[in-house]
Amino acid sequence: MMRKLAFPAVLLLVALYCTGPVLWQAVTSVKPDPELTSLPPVLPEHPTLSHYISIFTRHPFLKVILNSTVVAGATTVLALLLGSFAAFGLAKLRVRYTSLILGFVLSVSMFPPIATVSPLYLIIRALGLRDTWWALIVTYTTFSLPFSIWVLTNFFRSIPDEIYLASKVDGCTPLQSFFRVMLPLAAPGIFTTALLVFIFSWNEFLFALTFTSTTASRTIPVAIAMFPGLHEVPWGDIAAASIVVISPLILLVFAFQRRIIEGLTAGAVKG
Amino acid sequence: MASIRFEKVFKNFKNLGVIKSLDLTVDDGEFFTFVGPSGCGKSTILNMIAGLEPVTGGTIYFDDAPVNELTPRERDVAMVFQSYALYPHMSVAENLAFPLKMKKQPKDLIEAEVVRVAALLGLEALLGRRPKELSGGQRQRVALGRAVIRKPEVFLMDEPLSNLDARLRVEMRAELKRLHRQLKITTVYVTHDQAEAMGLSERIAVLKEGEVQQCAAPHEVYARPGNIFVAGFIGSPSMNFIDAQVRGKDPLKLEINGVEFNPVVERSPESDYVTAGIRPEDIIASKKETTPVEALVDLTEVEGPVTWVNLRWGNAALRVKAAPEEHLKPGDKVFLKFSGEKIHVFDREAGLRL
Ligand SMILES: Nc1ncnc2c1ncn2[C@@H]1O[C@H](COP(=O)(O)OP(=O)(O)OP(=O)(O)O)[C@@H](O)[C@H]1O
Ligand SMILES: [Mg+2]
Repeated sequence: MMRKLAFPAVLLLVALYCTGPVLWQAVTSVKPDPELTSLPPVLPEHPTLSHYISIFTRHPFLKVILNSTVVAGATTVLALLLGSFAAFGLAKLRVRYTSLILGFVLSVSMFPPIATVSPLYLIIRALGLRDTWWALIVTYTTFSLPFSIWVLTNFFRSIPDEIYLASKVDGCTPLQSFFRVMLPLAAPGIFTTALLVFIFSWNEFLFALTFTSTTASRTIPVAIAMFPGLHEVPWGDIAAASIVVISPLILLVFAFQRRIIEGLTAGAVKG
Repeated sequence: MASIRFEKVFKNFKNLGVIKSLDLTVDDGEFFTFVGPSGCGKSTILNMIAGLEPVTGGTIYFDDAPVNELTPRERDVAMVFQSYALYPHMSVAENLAFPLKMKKQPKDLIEAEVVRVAALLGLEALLGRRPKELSGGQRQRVALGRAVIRKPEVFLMDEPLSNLDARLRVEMRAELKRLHRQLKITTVYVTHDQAEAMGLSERIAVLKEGEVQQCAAPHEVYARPGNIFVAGFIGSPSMNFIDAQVRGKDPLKLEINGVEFNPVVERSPESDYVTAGIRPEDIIASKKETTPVEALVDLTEVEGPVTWVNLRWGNAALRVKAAPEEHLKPGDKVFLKFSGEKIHVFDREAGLRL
């Protein structure tokens, strides 16, 4: 009996631990200001949408969301395009020293961002890209490429060589093989990688803070960090903004849940 | 259509020689088979013809044009892969249509061809299915269909019948033969099944560890195997090998277990001992005392019109043929009748035919 209950209990604990902060934010976002600091964080007596209205009226939040969407979207497309070409080559074409190349690629992601941020800032400024979408798109693509190349290489490797060879015999050029056969077969991997790259770019803070200075390119995490004024911290607005920011991610993950699980476990079982 | 000529072709993986100096020609329109045990390099040869594996040295010609530098697409070959290699994300119909699509054929022609090939291979009911919803045999037929839907220069088939059940295999063998007679397209076929090779081909090449042991018409390989390996590999059940002592060199006289034989050979042995090879079907065991050669039955195996008998003759173990009506049992005493001229003689050192 105890054993039977222990497992669900552990699951419940883990779930609470993970969703706790989100639930707290959600509750906070609908509280009127006077109740904000009351503990424990139970549901308010008079829920209000004023914080949600406030973030769109008192801050240029729509523009910020647009910035984030464009930056994360473009990064995802670029990282996947370049990443899948590289991965296809490494996995299926006659390339020498593949493990050396993969190791080198991985080493790029080993530099802690804090160590690279100053030199990158100088480069961005020299290129005149400061406070533009491109500053972030280029940086994020650079930092998510190693990850996409690694994941996608494994995906392409899990597709039997014979299938690629058959497409060659059937008259495909390498590019046709790539688009007509390899890419559709690696779709679960593409989805998973795309989602993870998107989430990374959506959430990134350090580079976004350094390379942006106005709403022309400021992304959501930075914008939220800019909410606090000189004398007050608008917890309600921050909570509302956070909920707005994470909802698309949650929706995406739920929508593609099956795909992601397929993606993360593909190649583990044959068939 | 084209002939295929190998000129001193060899292939190394890392430093391991997998194919050692291949020198032969597959004639235009011929049905040619490479046969050999697992791992002898059959698939590697097909991949080199298709252009999927580069040769390490030597040249492959289609007719008189070297093709070493051509891509598979430019070589215009169709191939059935050992592992089917169907496209998992396409239906059977799309799989069949793929090679024609890549050749930019008109849509209505592609549709007509898909229907024709599906009918030929009994796939009509499966056209809408995905490969993972098919049995092994059905997949193999789709793979075959994807190859024969084109009219390429060369057909390459890597064990295309290995996963079919016995009845379907015989049917498909006949189908392949009919197809080849109709299309007259040069076909290079690979199998480890010597019976399949013998039944289908105009010529076969027996391979062992990347070297051609013998290359000739099936009946020739069967009647005059060039060495002990070929003799043991071709023919089922396989040939008996017995040590024999040379009693006279011209004409050759051999003594085996005290019995004298006079086989026909082309050259005399150098040493006093040779290996004699006798096919099981060339020795007949009977309970009736028609010969003085006496043996003891170990095991019997009924196979329709004949019974194969394992027996002990002196200190040699033999497999021989018997009529099923004999009803032989282990422990029975039998008498052996040899067809004298059907003894193959091999030298002991290199195992070459004498
Ligand atoms: N890519 C490769 N790298 C290294 N060695 C290889 C490679 N492909 C094949 N070999 C080796 O080459 C030899 C011949 O392989 P091949 O696949 O041609 O054999 P096969 O005759 O087709 O065997 P089977 O009947 O089992 O299919 C084998 O010893 C195999 O281990
Ligand atoms: Mg093989």
